[in-house]
Amino acid sequence: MSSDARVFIYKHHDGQLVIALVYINDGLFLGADKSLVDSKKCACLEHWECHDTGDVTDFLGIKVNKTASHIMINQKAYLKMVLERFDMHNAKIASTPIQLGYVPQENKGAVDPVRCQKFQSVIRSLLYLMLGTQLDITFMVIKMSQFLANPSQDHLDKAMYIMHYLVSIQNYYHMVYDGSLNEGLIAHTDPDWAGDLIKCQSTTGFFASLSSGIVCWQSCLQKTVVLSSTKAKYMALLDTC
Amino acid sequence: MLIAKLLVLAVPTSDSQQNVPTHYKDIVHLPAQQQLQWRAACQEELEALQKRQVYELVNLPLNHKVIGNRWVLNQKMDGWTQARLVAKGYSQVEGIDYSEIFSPVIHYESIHLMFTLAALENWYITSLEVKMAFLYGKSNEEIYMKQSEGFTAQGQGSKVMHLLCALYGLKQATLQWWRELEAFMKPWVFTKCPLMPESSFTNIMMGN
Repeated sequence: MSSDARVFIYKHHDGQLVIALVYINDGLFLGADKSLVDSKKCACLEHWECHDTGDVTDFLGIKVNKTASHIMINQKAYLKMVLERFDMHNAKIASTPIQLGYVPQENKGAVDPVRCQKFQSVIRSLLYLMLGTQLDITFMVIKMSQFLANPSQDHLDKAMYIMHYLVSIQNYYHMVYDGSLNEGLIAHTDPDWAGDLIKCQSTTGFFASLSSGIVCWQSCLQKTVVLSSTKAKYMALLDTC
Repeated sequence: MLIAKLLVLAVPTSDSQQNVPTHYKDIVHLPAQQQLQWRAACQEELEALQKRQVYELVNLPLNHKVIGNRWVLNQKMDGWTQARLVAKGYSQVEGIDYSEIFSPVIHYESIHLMFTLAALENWYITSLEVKMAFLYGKSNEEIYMKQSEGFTAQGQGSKVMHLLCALYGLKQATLQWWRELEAFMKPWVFTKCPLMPESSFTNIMMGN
């Protein structure tokens, strides 16, 4: 995996760690030793004019709810805003993010700028949700985002269908990191063999969980075309590693 | 009865956001009270910029272009009005007004991983937000900007703002802030993670 320059790790001489995550002007400080973490944060507060938000409740629009052994995160507020923006908050619900057996077709017609702009803004909102907490829509969002340059009305309808699905789960969905369960690192993966009718490529989907909390997830087209589903599975394994 | 109910429902949506003007010139169409409020917000922003020594008023040197700016007006949920002066970054010319503009951002995987570790080890988590962060970034290039709309300095109408800091909207603003941040973190042994943190943390996890 690639490096992450925005994670700073400070190792104290007694082995205690302070980790700082920085996203533009939002900072998150983590560590076992409260006084050490606070001392590092205070140094930042003195150096720049900062707003001390104290115990974390919100980071990058993700609501964080921390108890003794659990951390729960959700993006309900952002999801609500997105649904209202696209006038979907009172829409009918769908139980899945994709209709059964749906295979998207390339749009061969001319580019419609109005539709294109709407489609792109829908996908942009969905991508942010996908990256934050909604791993269940990953496959569909990535699939639809392959048509960003020239979407058809059908693509837009299917992107809105994802919103119908989000309406159904908006009130109870959140991710839980449970500190009391330590199951180690487990990764799950599965390919969609030759699911892409245009290029005949297969799609890899995977997610990895650490002590029951899901840490990373992805859905991507495989780099080469394979002839059997077994080979697609090998490729998926490789992508996951 | 029904109409009364509908009215109650309709009021909150029409109230909060509609009075926020999109452009500075739209302010004159508002009631006098609100005009004062928005002008005060703009004045406050300008004073903050002066305090931080973001710009100095100079005569435009020969062979230099000026870039534009605009006011971005915003009303917070609690009714607090905020004005922000932003540069029109799109009028900057590559190679003259800016060179590099990429700045690193965090992987979402790292955030999720940290939350998992924090839950496992019951870590203490705290957060902060740097106010007007971009203004800490120093401007390496020589950039001149028009004076802000509606607030031309008296008797110095022909002068332009010479930007000393990376103002909001400039293409290199995020990168300059990142450089400032990196320089601050370096002396404190805060090391940038060489790989994704997974690799360095497996040992800690197994140790427990």
